[in-house]
Amino acid sequence: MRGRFREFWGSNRKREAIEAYILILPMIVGLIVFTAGPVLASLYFSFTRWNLLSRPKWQGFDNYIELSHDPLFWITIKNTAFYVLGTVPTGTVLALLLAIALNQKIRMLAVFRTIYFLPVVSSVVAISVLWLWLYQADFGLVNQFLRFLGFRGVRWLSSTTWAMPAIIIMSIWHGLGYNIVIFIAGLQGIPQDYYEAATVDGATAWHKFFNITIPLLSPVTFFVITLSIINSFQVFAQAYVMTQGGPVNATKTIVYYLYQQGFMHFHMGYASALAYVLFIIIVALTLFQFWFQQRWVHYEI
Amino acid sequence: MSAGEANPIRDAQTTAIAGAVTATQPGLMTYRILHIGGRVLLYALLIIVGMTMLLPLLWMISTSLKHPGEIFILPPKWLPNPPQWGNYVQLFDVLPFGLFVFNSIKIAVLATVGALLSCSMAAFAFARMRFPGRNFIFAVALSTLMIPFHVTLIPLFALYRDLGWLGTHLPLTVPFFFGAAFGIFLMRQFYLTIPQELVEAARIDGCNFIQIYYRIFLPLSKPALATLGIFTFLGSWNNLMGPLIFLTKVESMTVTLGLTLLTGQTGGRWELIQAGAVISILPIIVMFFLGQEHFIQGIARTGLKG
Amino acid sequence: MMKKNASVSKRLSRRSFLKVAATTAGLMVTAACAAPAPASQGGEAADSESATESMEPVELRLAYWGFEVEKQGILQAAFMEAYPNIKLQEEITSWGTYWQKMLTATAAGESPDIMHHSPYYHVQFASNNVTIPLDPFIERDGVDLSEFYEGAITSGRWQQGQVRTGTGDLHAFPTVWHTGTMWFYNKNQFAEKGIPEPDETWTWDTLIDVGKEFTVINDDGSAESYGMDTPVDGNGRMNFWIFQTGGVFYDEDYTKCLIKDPEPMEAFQWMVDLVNDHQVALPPEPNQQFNPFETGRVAVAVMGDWMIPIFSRIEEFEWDVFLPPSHPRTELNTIDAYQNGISITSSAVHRDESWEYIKWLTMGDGAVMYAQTIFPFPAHIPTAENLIYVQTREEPPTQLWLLNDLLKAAYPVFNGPAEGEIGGIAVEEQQAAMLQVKTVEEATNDLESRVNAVLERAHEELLG
Repeated sequence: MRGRFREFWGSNRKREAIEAYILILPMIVGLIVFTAGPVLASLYFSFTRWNLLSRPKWQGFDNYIELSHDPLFWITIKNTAFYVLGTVPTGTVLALLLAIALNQKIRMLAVFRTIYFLPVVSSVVAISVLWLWLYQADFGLVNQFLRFLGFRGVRWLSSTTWAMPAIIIMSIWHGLGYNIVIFIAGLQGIPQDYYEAATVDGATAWHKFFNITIPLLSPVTFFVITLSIINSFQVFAQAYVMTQGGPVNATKTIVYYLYQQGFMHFHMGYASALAYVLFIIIVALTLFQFWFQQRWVHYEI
Repeated sequence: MSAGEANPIRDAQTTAIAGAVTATQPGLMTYRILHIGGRVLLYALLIIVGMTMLLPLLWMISTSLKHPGEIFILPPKWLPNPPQWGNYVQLFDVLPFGLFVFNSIKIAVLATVGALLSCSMAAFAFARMRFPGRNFIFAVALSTLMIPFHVTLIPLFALYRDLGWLGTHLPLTVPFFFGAAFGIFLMRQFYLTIPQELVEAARIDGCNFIQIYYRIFLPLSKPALATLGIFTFLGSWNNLMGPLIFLTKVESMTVTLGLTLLTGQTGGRWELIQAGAVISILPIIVMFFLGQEHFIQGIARTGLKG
Repeated sequence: MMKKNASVSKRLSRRSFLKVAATTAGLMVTAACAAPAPASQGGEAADSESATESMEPVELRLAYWGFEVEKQGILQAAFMEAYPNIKLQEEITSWGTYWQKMLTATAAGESPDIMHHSPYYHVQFASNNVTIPLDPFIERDGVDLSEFYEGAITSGRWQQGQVRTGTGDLHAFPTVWHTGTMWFYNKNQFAEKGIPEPDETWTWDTLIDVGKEFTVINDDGSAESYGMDTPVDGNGRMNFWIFQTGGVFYDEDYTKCLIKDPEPMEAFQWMVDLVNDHQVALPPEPNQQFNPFETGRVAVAVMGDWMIPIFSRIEEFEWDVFLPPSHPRTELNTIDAYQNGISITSSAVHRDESWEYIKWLTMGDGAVMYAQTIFPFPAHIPTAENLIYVQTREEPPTQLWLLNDLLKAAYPVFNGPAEGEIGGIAVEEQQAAMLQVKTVEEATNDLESRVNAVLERAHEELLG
């Protein structure tokens, strides 16, 4: 017994493991108490009918079945997909281009970078309140600018056609700086030798961009896209502050609908089911991306 | 050199090299013109985008200083005359915004300290130590990134109720002392860039891993800590849903929540709402200015190379 | 007295609040050291377990929504000065999140003792035993309910087995009785165009004729001005048009939506036509943060009377209110009216003290103060008639007294258990028709079936 005890403590591997468990202990506790537990509890609620005031009443898969027949649910899926497709590709490409521009050894890099980052540090609530004002149809700055250019203004947030694009434009504006900073970091991580060698070989700028920059930047691009998709599927505050999901559900997103069902109409069971569907969508998309990355992400440097 | 600054010497060198290479090809003048033209276009692009980023924020400040009569007029006035600094005084009269700012700072600082501590600890274990279940636990931790906040909201509410935490700042601070996936990921990425030789050397000197963590890795990871710190601070400062659900009394509210009190009524006062928005982003911008060198460096060093 | 109201309320600064608070605090200390103060002026029943025996003041948690935090603070301070044995602890939330907060707090067993209440949620809270009937207190103290607008009282009643308010025990004592149908007009615009100001002869048809005079769209697509603004605001905004056609939105027992009946259909069609066919009304905006009337862009607006304190800050033009235009056929100009109430929750320990606060706020000194500084539409008729609906009112709206008779005759809108949800559906379908995403036929069909589904679910949940 004593021998085994000594062996246990004597073993470096065991000691290392114990120290490691001590270091990750808070995280494990947090994971169980603040995440795993609530996630399971929520799963239970998604099988009940519950208005917060009475007791949850078990009703099996009813919420999920009702969900599949709920036209509003499908509208919110469509709107959220529209938002993700509107923000992620445009936001990523714009951020990449601007990062490359900023990486051209320009003067006052810090100034530009700071300015681009300002919207990122501002809260979505503050930003939404600001853009609500900018999009105002008659006095808003956006329409005044359009009229200055000779266009007719658009009733941005009152139009079923333009309300979602308006939110998309604002969100791209809000998040651009974040991706730019990450792309700049990625670009600066690419060794200069590659470019110098290519220059000696007589490669054009286009060649260098497509054969060096894009492949070597792909891990960063992957990171940016994955996180952007996870975040944009959870879009809420913009719709909450600016449009309340309107007009005529044009900006009603999954999380807004979830909020409405759960915290405005107090259908907690239904809202939990919605939350789980959202969770499953995000997990599926993320897994798909991890599988798909093998085809386009290059990890060797 | 720091990743953030343009380096004039290297700049000049590159130009010289590029010039030498191309001079033999299409002729120096053509190159110069192309080069200058390109630079002009480049700066034009950067300035236009910069204006797009900056103007709405300036408009926010401008509106916050306007007399109510100046707000709905055409063409718009950029410079309020005279600036109504009284709007800010009024804002602090209407709601205790000073207290809101204090609460927000207090919560954000505690959350940041908690996140830095717990994430760096766990990240060190994941980056540099071997133990059974490491990859599995790390994968589980990372996968929590995908959980929408609303999924856990209701059960958390019940939990905090049972703990007697409702109405206090505890639900907004304590969980940060128990780690978060993004922070652990970020710190782990950074730790992976620290040479393994340092660990080996310290082991030979008789340090255990926990000592290596706080004697070597923690001091070396200032940029990553700054990055994580800024992200956590930002996230806490801008959090709406948490304070909305967990705080009850006016005395304990945060700035972001206070802002929704301002917008919550029909016929809101635009100059006051925008003043509130300015107050809500000002401290965070100041903080970003102070920490940005470390922050940018941290992002660069974490590499995010997977 | 009335003349000063608006300006007084505007200038009650934080400093004066602090002053009042400090005085109150001082008084409380003295009161605590001196003999125990009487529990109330209203003659508290002897059997109450009054807390005056102890030196410690009773602490009550009071929840309300809103913005007027500093004025509420002064109000509460005044109460505590008058009742040193009671200490109020305020819990404030914005309107948009108030119910979320109340329900989650209740679910957590953390509900306040006293909560301000809206008819939207009366049934939901009463049927889950969150609010308690106030009738025993009313009987005990001999409160004369005829001093209140009748509709304000009935709106607060709820009976087991009903999914709507209107009968049974009084769960929410009325603080406010007011309307979503207040007609405002911009005097300057009428003067500029030389159009006579609106009066009792106006009908729905007049709205079209006059509205067209005021609607001017610029070449660049921006609106110079519009005839009228009738913001889409749930079925509340629909109600008065429907009432004036002689119809109703729900059947008696709230089992189905009657929107497809001829009268409500006429009203719905009319609302859509104002925007699209006659083009005299502003197209709907999803967010009503920008008030077109306040910014001088519409000649006429129909909105909640709660806009009056907000409009009182208008400096650029003169304005007033007028009688609702009547329906040409039925000649009705009925308005819809709503109660705001205040309730005691079942988790309240000090119910007698809570009731003292309610009495003070709804019929005592607090009623006057509340009407002067926070919500100027008291449900208490003597307060309303002496303070608000006076013919000698000098600041706009000078014709506010018109509202008194309208409110007495108003159609009380009884609310079901899912009024918020139904209101949201009504907004969507109205907007869909106004923005021409759906035809009126489609929108009303969808409205009917969706509301019926919600009602069915509500009946099921409430009545088993």
